[in-house]
Amino acid sequence: MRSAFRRSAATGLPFVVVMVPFGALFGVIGTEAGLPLAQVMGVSIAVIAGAAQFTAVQVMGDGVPVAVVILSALAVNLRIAMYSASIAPWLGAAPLWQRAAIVCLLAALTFAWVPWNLGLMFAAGLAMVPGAEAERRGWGRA
Amino acid sequence: MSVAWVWGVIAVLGAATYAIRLAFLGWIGNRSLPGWALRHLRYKGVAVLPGLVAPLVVWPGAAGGAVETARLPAAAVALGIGAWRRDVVLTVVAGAATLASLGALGV
Repeated sequence: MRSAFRRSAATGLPFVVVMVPFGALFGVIGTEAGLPLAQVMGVSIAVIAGAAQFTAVQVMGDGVPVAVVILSALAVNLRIAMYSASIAPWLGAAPLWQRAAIVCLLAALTFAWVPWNLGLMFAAGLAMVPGAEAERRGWGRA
Repeated sequence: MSVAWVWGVIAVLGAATYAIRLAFLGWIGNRSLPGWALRHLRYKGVAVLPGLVAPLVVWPGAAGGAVETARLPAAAVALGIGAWRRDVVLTVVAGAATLASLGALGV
């Protein structure tokens, strides 16, 4: 059990490489959207879902009704329900409190890594996101 | 939107996202899924992940949806290194480095 935990931690560690720029990017976009630092961190900690976070902050800036902000972010997150179903055959036997804790970290990266090892492809795609956003904003251009 | 409202939105989003995450793992638990459901779920990885990645490569939002030449070789390098070395960090670094250097060259 202990070694399984350690092995999993080691397997997941590389994803930090992509998560750090992703988090930094969200910090920039959230701050530019006018959110105070506490709320930017609040979104990251409470939602923990990259795409939905960006959606929520962008839509918030558009001045639409609150219900629309919530619905659009949740629509983006619905795919996580499928991740949840997909990992049930692997983790369904765990006690409820463990499953309740595990799902906090359920995202495309962990989902991809666990059953099909396609995390590689996703991570490669994700690595392009911060660069793309930086370009859109014209960073590094004179 | 006032500060208090934003906190409300954050709280609702957090709670609802957690519920979505727990939805199936919490509910299905140890029960076995029917064969047809498992068969469909097996293909979820190959269906969803390219669906997430492909638009970023071919129609990047950063370029307003236009094809950008630098992204295609960057994706190819990342995919190739990934298939060859099976190393996440190496894959990410190779893809990002290719994109950055092609960008610096003005491609």
